[in-house]
Amino acid sequence: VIPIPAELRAVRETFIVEETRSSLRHALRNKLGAIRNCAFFLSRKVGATPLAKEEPRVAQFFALIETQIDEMNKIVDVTPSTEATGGVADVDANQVVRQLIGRLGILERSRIRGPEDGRNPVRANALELELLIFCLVENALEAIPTEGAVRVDIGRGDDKVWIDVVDDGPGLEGDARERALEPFFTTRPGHAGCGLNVARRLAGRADGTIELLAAAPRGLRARVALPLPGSGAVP
Amino acid sequence: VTKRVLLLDDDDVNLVTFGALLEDAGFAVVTAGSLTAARAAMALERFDLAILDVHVGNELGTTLIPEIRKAFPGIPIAILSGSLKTEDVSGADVALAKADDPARLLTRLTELMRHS
Repeated sequence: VIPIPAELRAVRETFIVEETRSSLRHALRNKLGAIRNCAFFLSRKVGATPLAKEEPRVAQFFALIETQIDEMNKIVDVTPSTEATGGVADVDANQVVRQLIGRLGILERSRIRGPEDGRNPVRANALELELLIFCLVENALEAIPTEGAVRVDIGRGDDKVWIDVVDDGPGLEGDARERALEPFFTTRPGHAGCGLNVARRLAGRADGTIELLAAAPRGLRARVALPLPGSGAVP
Repeated sequence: VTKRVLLLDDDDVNLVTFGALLEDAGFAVVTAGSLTAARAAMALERFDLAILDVHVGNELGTTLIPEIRKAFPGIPIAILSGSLKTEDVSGADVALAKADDPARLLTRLTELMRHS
């Protein structure tokens, strides 16, 4: 397990909670919608029978189902908070990577190579961007538990900046690579499978994307693409 | 004349329950649990309304919009989604939330048909 810098810990917890809530939200909304549809259908049918007049609790209980569903929808409808991280600004991706590597412990730092110099501005929240890269670096380091190296490359296209976190571990093949960004998917026993998914959520908050590619000759290349400030482009 | 509805959703329970509400409201409903099934249905018969879920398995129901526009020009297309706040529903005539009141959903779909 890679020790997370204290500055990022609270932010990561916020986004793990949000990721969990988001997964539940989608599933629960479908289920609640189905229950509401059933109740609506039945109330119409039963409402037209003598039972509805003989037993006042029939209407009362259908109304109760409606209010309970409303309450549950409110519970799952809480939107992610940005209070933990503040707003967005033009930040230098190279500097964010250098800062993260500096914050990691001696053992990890010796195995990570990042950009020595250069500047690549992106429009993002600096703390969220650092956490995003941490999630990818953590995933990469866990792929090479005993030996190997992680490299963070940064480059710039016409309208976007890309950040590649590359490891020389065993990589991910086929279905595992396709599913690795899904919530709670992991190929590693004892892991929650949140890191890459949190990274995807953070990239989305900066109007960016993540894709997982095979690295040559072996390993995984996690590529984050973020729009250049003022480009208006979504990669 | 009974209006024919194509209802696309990968959740079987939603197909059964919302399909029942539509039938009760006088529509003839054809359900599809995948984009492949929806395309097969579109090849066999004509529809007057399409109701599409956004996330259908690993695919997006919204990718069918251009195909529906081409196959059945002028018919209304409704998105029925669990997460309207975060999803791209451009190209549809109306976006409806699954969590909304069923009576209101049916009213909006009926109005949509009336204005099409």
